[in-house]
Amino acid sequence: MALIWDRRQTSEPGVHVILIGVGSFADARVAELLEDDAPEGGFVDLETPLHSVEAFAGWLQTELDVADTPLHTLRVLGSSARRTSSLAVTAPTFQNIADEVGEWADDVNTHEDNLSIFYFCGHGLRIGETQLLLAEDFGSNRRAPFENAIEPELLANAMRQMRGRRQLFLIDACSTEVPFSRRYENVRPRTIVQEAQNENLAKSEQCLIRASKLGTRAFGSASGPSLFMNAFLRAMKGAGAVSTHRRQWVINTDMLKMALSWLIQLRPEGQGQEVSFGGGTLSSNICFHTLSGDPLVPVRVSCEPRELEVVSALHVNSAPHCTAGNWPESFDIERRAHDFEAVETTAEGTKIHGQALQEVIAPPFVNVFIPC
Amino acid sequence: MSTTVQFDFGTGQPVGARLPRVALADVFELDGNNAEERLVVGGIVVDLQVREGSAPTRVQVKPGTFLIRLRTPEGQLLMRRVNVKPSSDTALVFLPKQLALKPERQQSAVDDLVVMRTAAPGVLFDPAAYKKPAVPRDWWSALPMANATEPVTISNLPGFHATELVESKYDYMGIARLQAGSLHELPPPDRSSHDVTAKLVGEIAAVQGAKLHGNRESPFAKWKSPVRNRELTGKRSDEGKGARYFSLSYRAEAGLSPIQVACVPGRWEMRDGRLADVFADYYERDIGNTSIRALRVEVDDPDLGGLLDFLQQGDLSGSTRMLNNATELLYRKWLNPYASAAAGYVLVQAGQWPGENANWRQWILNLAHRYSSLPDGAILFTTLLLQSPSEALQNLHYEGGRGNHFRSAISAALEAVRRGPPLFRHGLKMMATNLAILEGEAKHLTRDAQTYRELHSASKYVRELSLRVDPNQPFCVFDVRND
Repeated sequence: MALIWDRRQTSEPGVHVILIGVGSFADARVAELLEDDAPEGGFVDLETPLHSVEAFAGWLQTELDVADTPLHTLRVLGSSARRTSSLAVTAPTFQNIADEVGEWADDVNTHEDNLSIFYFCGHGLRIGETQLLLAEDFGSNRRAPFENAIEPELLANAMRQMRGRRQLFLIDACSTEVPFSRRYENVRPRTIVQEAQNENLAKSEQCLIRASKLGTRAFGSASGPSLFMNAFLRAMKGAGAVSTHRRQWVINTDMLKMALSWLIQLRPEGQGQEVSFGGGTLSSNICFHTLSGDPLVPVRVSCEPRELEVVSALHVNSAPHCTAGNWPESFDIERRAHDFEAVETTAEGTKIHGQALQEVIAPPFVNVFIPC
Repeated sequence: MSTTVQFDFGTGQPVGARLPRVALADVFELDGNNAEERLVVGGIVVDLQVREGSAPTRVQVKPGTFLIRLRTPEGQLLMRRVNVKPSSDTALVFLPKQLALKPERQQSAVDDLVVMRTAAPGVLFDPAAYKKPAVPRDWWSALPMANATEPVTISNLPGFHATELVESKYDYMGIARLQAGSLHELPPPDRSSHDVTAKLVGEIAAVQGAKLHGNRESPFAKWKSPVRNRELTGKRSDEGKGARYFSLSYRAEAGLSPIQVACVPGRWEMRDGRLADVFADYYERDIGNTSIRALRVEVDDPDLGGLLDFLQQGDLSGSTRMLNNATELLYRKWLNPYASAAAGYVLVQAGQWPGENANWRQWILNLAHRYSSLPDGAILFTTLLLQSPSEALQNLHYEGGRGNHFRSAISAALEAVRRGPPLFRHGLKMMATNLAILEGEAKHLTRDAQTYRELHSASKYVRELSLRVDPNQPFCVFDVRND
């Protein structure tokens, strides 16, 4: 049973979430299937998907704040080759995913003002513009080797028929491309939700965000959530926020996308990983989380030239922030104007090498350069 | 005095990186010690390639402190804080940083001689440095295929001098421009691989080589008319109604080896009535463990180029804002069906937008019906039939009476497939979803086995197109290397 949170009230709008973290695979089977086309490193077991769904589930249960729309359901499917989860997760085989996505779709369909969230973390590949998200048992059917996979854009298009208007899809997987050849001309992932006629084309608000743009890889860590999920949870503090008329700060997906790319690329392994939208109607700008106060904005402060960071401490608003040689890669700071200074302390006293005064710090992020 | 907002999207970009053509700017007023921000004006389209004679973007504001956010289709973001002082002109003027002019090359025949004398023998006879003798001029002319006595396919173009028109400095890569007649039936679903021509291009009517320019790393070709022969191309006003156009990227060291086929527009008319340059250039595309030279198609239209860029990035709100900038252009006249189709993708998906004209659905129907060799209009109207409010489609005028394919979703969807691959890649996903809806219904709701078979076969065809297409481009570019 993947449903770990069930507060359904069909007459009231709610948030309905499904999280899928696929960490164990039959690598040899998939490598055999793709032969020379298999991505570098193959399809090894992953630890990051289970960490990612656990971290996201925790945040959803304690932090998510959608005006008048409480969390109604949370379904979690996850696996790891090394450990079990404290959450009662279900194994992410294709059939389990199909069953749970089906149940989730029914819940999404209960109210027009529902907000739905679909999150997938695991291996993915791409042939042309067909993206395949691999279930745990991908490749197990020798006669239809590609069928145990999800095509996220087709799933999103099929979900458009549901009454729940706001739908957010987060795809945290590689989009490594496999070259087209005759071997793949019949590739077809199985249908999970049958497409149907509807009147929601321009009415529904759907946004699909990919952790890596087409043809590129997404990264994770063996001991924690993926780069995407780390960046996502950090952006929820303010990097993805915009100010509303009532001076409330709300996360919206246009701002979030810009924040995520920047935050991911702060990490050395995230260089080249760029967040992208799904096509067409899958890039609606959805507001989905209200901040409790002012946003915290990630900033990266550096001296020009960088060599002076070795001898200078960083002061923010005249107070020491870090010592010489220990400048952080980035940090979060309140949204307003701040003073930044590079200050060297010697036996003779202090010397200010450079200042950036009254820098306006605003979402999604700011690069501050202190001219020295 | 106006306040200049200058920005440089080239900073930090690798040499040769493609710079954005447009950006969208939001202007926020700051107050309360810069702690509060209030949106003053959003979605201003900023032309980053201000050309001779065109004025930079201006926005009138009151004196004060402003935060400006600019974002490009590729997702780059720049922020600026500006102070506007009280004066007679308090406008913000957006100016991109101009590229430094390249110093003129000081080269003459004498320099060439010096180089010749000092060059090492290996360099002198380097095949890459060897300049090929000119080929007869008419080898570059449009070559009709009507009288060919052997089958004409993308790998067999009788009379076309594929190997002679390529150069070693471009690694024997070449581009052939193809004109094809309109298709008359659904593409063959289950025939063997050599029928890729029939699936993608249809019957090839003419071929013309395109000269490559530029350096060996990034050669490009450009043209205004897809095939330079007035008799073959016909009237400008017939664009989208008869012939279709494609670019074939090939390598021909010994023989013709097709690599990619791109769907390209015919003559692309701009706001001022002139024809835009269509560019076909090469970029390095990583596919799995290999890197290939892939064809990229672009149109140099200052009004709609930005829209294509946002559309490619799947940025609907950006595309909608770009469309606002070109509304009057799109409604004024039927000048450019290709641009209209691009705008149609935004209209159909956005549904409502500030510059909306009440008749836009009729306009999509006309695009579908009148431009019979442009699949995109047919795809768009099928999508409206299947996924938009039914009351919105009442009172439409169906030209041609019962002969109009767009009265029912099934005939509209099959007509779209019959016309071949869409010009814009965006149409593929729409086609796939439309067919999946109809196939699902045909399977469960009707007993019409023939219709189900046709839809199933059409779905399979579209799926194959989706697997072959390069997902990094706005126009459809298909991989044909392994056929």
